Amino acid sequence: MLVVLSMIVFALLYLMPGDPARSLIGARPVSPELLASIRAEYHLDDPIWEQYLRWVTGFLHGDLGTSIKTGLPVSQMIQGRAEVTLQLAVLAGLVSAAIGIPAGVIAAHRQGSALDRGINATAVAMLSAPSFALGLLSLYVFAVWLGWFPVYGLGDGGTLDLLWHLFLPVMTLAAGVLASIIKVTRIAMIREVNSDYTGFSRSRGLRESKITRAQVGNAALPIVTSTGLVLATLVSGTVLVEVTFAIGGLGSLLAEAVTFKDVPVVQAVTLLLAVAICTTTAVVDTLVIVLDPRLRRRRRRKSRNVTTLAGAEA
Amino acid sequence: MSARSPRQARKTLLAIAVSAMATALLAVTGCTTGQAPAGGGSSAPGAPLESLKVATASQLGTLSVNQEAGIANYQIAALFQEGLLGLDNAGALVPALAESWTQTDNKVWKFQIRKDVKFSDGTPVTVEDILFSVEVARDPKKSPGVSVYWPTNITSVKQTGDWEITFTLDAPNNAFGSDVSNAGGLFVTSKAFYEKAKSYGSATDLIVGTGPYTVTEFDPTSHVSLAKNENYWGTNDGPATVRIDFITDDATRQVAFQQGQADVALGVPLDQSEQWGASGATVQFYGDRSYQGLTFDPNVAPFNDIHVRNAIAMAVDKSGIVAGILKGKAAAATGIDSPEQLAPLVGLDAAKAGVAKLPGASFSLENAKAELAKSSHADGFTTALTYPTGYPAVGKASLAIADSLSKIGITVNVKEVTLDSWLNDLGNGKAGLEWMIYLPTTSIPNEISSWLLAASGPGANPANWTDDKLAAQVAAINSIDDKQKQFDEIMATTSVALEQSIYVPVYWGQAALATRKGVVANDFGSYTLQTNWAAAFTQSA
Amino acid sequence: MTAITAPAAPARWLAWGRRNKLSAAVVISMIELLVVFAWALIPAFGAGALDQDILLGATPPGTPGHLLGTDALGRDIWLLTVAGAQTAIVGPMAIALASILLGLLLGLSAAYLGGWIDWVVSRFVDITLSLPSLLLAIVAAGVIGGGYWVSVAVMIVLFAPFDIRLIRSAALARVHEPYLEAAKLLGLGRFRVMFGHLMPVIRGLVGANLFLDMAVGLVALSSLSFLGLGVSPQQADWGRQLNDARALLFINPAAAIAPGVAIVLTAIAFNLVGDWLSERSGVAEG
Repeated sequence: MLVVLSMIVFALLYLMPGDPARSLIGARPVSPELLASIRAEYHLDDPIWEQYLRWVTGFLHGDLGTSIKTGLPVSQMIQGRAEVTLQLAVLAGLVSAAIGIPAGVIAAHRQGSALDRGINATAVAMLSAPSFALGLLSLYVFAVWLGWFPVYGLGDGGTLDLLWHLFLPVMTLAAGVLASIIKVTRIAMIREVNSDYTGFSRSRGLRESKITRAQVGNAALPIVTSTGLVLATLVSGTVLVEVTFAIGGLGSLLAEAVTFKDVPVVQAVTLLLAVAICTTTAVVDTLVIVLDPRLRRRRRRKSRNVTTLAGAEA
Repeated sequence: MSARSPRQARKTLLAIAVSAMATALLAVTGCTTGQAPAGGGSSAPGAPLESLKVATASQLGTLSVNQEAGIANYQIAALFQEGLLGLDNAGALVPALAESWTQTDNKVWKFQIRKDVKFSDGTPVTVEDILFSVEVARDPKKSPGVSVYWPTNITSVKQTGDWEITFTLDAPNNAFGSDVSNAGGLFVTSKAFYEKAKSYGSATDLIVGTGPYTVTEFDPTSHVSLAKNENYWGTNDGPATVRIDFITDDATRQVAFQQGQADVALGVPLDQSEQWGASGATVQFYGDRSYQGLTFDPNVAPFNDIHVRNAIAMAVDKSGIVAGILKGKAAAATGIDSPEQLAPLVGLDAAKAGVAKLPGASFSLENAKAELAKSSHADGFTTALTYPTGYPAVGKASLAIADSLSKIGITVNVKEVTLDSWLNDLGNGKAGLEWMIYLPTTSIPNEISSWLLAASGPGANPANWTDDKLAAQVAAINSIDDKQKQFDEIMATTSVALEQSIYVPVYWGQAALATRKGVVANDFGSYTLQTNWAAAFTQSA
Repeated sequence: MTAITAPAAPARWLAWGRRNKLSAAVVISMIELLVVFAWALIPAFGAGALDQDILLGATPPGTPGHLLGTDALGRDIWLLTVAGAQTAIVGPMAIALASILLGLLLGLSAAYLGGWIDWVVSRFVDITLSLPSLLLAIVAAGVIGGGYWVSVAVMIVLFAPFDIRLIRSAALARVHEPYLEAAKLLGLGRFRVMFGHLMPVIRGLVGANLFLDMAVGLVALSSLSFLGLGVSPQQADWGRQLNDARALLFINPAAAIAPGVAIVLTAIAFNLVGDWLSERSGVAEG
């Protein structure tokens, strides 16, 4: 699958307007010979399949190539940035799940109450606000007016300091995902709360905590499926947040490389992000099978899918 | 799940830099000797700062200007790397690694190399190091960013004495001094270091240079830190350390600045200067020497009709655009090279007077309509105009121009594209109407017009325009030594283009910087960022 | 309506509302959507929105003749916001409809038919989800020439995988229910079972998702135009207005607030109406 992805990305970049050699020179006069020799240096005039093969061969030998824009090894450019993006995405994912699932469960239990409506309204509002606007708003409110948080950078090393600096970006990134998780959890839980077995258990005098556990267990399937889906969007969501808060991660690198047509960088970052997304998806698929007895019949075939996925990533 | 690029492309690639191909600075017939005092910067009244923190709108991918020659790369490299010559605060060439230089007929250029200079790593600078750096800079494969500055007509580069290097050109080029400066195409480094470096210009191979500062830390995702170069041959009154943070988002940069995280902010958006100036901060403006104007390709219909070009020129409300969209923080352009760019020749006032006299259509929709009626497209037509992302003022100007043109029957579809695709389409021979945005780094007076007016046919200029007589006249400017005569010739050649309405200048830009309370920028001008600009910032007196 | 029945009418409406689980928020949302739809469909409301007055430039709210002030080009903020409804409604609707249709077609097929179809569809989804969306948008803008409909198309490509996957997993959970097995045993054709029997059970999910897609589509399209990628700069559009307005925050805050509020309110309305529809249909899906 990654092979197909890399081919598609390669083809798309090839189709894209712009010439990185020209971009290196800028709006300055250049002789055709000079432009040609820069293009030759980066093999930009070779047929597309030759360019692709060259890239693949390098990739298979562990060489991610050299960035056209900076002339530096891509692996060096990615180091450090990957870590930052991973921190952002994982923190945002944890925050969303840790707040979203309990909030959804509570809302479902108090269905129709003021608390439920409050939680639901917050979720709807968070889903409806574009994250670029949310980022700007939080920047102005928390950093400028209230001055509670630093606005840019990652602090100077300490874990606490890092969390402090990442707070606004993580919350901005988490908002949409968090809202989706609340909604999905709430809807799934309402079905369980209103189900016959809940009423039955209650009439038998089972402890409420035990009932809740059973409900959560039964509602887990849709929650896990949807959570997995939205978590995948976190990765692409980092671009905007990284740029707004001036954090140098993979997202901002990708955006820059895409506009510059910096093929080796785009390829490397895309594949890295794809591996992250595939891993999330594979984990979710496996969880779904584990959680849903109805699917166990199909399990053999499913797990084969999961293995092929894992194989492709390796 | 949407595509969100930031406004990343932005200034990093400002693209726009320097042409070498022409013209001159050095006066005196036949032979010139330069022996001005060292270095750039300006004499500062206040006490020096201990450390200087700068927030900039650009982000560097590499420290190597040879590779990435954006305007910000030049400005930061001006602190830690030198060429044979450099610029002073007024744009005049001054000695750097060459302590003096002479030239004969603008063809044979001899540079006397400064002795006993050391690189920031303590190793001595040899003639070999300089020759090696020249060789690297001229190689398009090793230096895609700066090789375009080097004239193609160099017949030899030789060591002609223990401490002398001679360049021989096969045609006169009075601008060659700029080409070997760090505002043009030469950034000297140690040969041993370059050959040892795995990735020259990266965070792991901090460039070794001879400038007033030396890089102590570089993180392409966030900042570059510099400290005074202890081995610097000249004097440096600037702060002991400089830290430049890359904060590309305007809002974030503004907040960071206002929270006191930076002493100085560069790239203040012109239309937001009032907001930046709040709470004791000072915002100041300086002409950035940039040219923004329309280009017509006279080979593309209907722009092959001079009446069509004239009509459009008459319908562009320059002063309205400057007053309304740019809030007066720019100048309506009447020529191609800005007065600031021409100032080293005849002084700013004479330059301003000169460009004011250039021919050009004055804004009048009625005249424009009458002019269009004379053309083969009296009923109007539809065309496109694209502008690059990251240039909101040019975007708004495009909309204003489209609005005016709609009143004379011309429909303009305005489109925003990425900077890179805009660059790629520049002068592609398909678009008849285009923007030209050009920000020079050197002080070559006709850096812009020498390209725009190189009318020797398709590809030679962005309009793909042919006028052999003019082309010869422009080329001849390269061998004029008299400054006034040079200026007159630049004005005369520019007139030809304006009379034919090949180019419609719209505005010459300004840039703004903000300093926090207690910090002042002394004598900050159009050329300061090409010098040791860190020294221009001091405590307020 | 006669004088006698008039007092009774509100009560009847209230009862109808209660029966249909109609809350005040949903009613307000519907009214909001009606207004925005009217703005979108009747150009006369936003006429003159693009008229410039560059010498006037940006002005604060309350400037004579301009209730919400003007932007940097002297265009009326109120009219721009009204005219911007068009791109805010039409595109998201197209996105939602197209991606739900694709979702139904491919998601149901994958779930019900399984086998290689499921494999192909799942890999297609994986790949599209991994594609950098920005890359797609720029390629589309560059190769096809860009514009509003191109970014709508890009959004469909980016949204469909979510719907496909969601519908596939919802259908998968139902595939083995007895009545479907029964329908199959009765010898009904595959497509008949898929669309006639499987689809109706997940219609709550589909309905809710249609509106959710519109909300997210609106947000995503405005993000694109915020970046200068989708809509032409000569068209009124909320995302573009927001981007332009960042520079005007202190001169005319309404220039940012008006389109910002418009986006958020409309998206909330889409969400609430979607929720209401799914609750009313009585099928609360995961």
